[in-house]
Amino acid sequence: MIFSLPPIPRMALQNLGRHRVRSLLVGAGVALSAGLLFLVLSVGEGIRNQLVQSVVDAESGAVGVRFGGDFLRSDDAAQKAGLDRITAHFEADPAVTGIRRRVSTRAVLVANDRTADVQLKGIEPAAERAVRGGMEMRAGAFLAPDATADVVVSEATAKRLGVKPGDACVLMGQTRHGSVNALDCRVAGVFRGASRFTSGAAYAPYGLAASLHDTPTPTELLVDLQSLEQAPAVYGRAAAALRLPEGGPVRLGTYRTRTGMASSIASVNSVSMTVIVLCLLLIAAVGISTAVVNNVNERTPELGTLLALGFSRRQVGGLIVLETALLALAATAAGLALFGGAALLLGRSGVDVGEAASLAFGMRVLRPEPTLAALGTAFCLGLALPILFSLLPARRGARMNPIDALRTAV
Amino acid sequence: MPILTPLIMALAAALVPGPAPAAAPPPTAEEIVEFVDNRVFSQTMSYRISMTSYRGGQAHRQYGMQVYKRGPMLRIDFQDPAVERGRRVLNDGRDLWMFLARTSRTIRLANRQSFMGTDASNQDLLRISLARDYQIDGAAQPRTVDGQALTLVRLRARDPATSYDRIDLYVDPASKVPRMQEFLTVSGRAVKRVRYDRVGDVGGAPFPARVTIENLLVRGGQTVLEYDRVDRAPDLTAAFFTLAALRR
Repeated sequence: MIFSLPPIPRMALQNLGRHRVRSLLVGAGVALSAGLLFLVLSVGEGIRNQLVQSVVDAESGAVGVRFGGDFLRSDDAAQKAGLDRITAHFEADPAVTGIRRRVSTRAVLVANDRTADVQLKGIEPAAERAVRGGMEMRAGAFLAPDATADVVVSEATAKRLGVKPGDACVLMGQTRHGSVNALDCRVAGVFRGASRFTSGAAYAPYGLAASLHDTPTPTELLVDLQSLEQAPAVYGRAAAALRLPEGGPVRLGTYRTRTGMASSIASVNSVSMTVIVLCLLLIAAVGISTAVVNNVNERTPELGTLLALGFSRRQVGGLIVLETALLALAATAAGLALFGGAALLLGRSGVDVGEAASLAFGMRVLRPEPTLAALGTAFCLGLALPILFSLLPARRGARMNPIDALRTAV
Repeated sequence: MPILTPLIMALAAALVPGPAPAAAPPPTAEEIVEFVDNRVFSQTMSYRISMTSYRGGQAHRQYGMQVYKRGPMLRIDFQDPAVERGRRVLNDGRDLWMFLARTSRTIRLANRQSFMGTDASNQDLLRISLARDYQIDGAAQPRTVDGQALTLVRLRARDPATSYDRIDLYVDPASKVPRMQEFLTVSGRAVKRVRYDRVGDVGGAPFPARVTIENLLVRGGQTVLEYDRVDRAPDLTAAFFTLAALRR
């Protein structure tokens, strides 16, 4: 089959096999760099999506409604009417899959003569499966649906207070009017959060948080959708229907307003890792350039012969570039296959990077999410950079004087 | 004989004891609060406070302050330690302010914030009167606390934004001098206790020379205020209690 190809491609393929070890070493460099680039881009994509999803589950919902102090301090009947109107709108929106009520407030947990500041989230456990799914219980259990005075704290909080499941504590906070309040509670469980955005949180039953804050209505509604992409449209419909005044006591927003920091962390990590791998790819490309120079020097008589036989300089230069391109193509494909497979496997199991590294990544377990864009980027760069770095030596080889080249052979 | 009857009557009156004079009725809750607000802590007065905050039995922070009070206004000038000299706090009757000498900035304070990291809140030190912030909730009641017979007056906040929803005020039933206050939250849980000790006569009215603020949730946490140089008639003008004067 190879003999049916035109002369230049045929010679290029044959030449690849002439220096197998060198081809293998150069190819390995390209394969490793391109594969790593694909993996890094996949990890970056995974971190971004997981961080964003973590914030959506734990903090914001796809669309969120937050009730400010002026609303909460207003007449109870007016509050209820406002809340009913907003809830009814979202319940009627076909894209909405659920509405979670929360009372969120800053509080202080007191136990063993120690205190810890927490972001208290009063939730309805049955409606917050996503929160439960995103946390790893290290001790005890998550809130039961009928819990009334339990609280679930992070590992960091539990360590600070020296508490374990079953221990009594006092939850201190402010009412919606600003008066101090304190309620007895019990530690039900200790969790390790999926990301840094949950490490300062404490979860309590909705009723307990509402009593602490002395509020008859939730402080926020988290609206869940079929997919995050629907958030802008749902937000638009709600804004048009509810006509909430800008800067007023009731604020409507999509998850994007709350996940800015998460996205920034993910972007910084992604960019840092990508830059490192691009440097590796450049190094590999420089290696290819060196290999091509050596190749040209070694084949001076051969190239001189081709020129003397009537091949054009363009054909001779093209031969050298084509050899490099074929090598890069094979190496890139191999690298992407290998690292792509690894990315798919790690995407299922996840990689625990440990507590220290989680501070940099924003989360502890990384799950790469390969995308076609990442694949395309790695493939194009894996192919293009070696070709680019082979152009100059190929040009030099094609511009040699065939008489000088043949004289060298003799 | 006509002269004997009056003589015998006078002798009988001298020798036979008459009915006992009626016992003074116990003070009402209103009288107690009025006494505490206006007699113990006068409308106008100045005094020096040495404040020490303790953690786990160890002195944690110490401040020396000069306090000036005039009607609904109160001002605190820090004197010790030297690094705090120049810091001033003002209750101008509406808001709480702090002047930071090092940066020449004035910031607004929240009532419930801890005063300089101690167990006292800003409101504890800068409150003008109980009657202004609280209303009496029921009649005064006798209580025994630590073996001591006291009178309890229950107070409820007039404004739901007041830091503590309720105060239980314990006073000496005879002298109406405050012995203890407990601060309770909306849920009814006591979170802070204030004890008044070393009560002496200052300017014709009782005044505690020592006040101890205990954190009831964190054991070992307490702040002690020692008062001296109490003057019940200082010469203070209204202009002294303004933001402009604070910054000077």
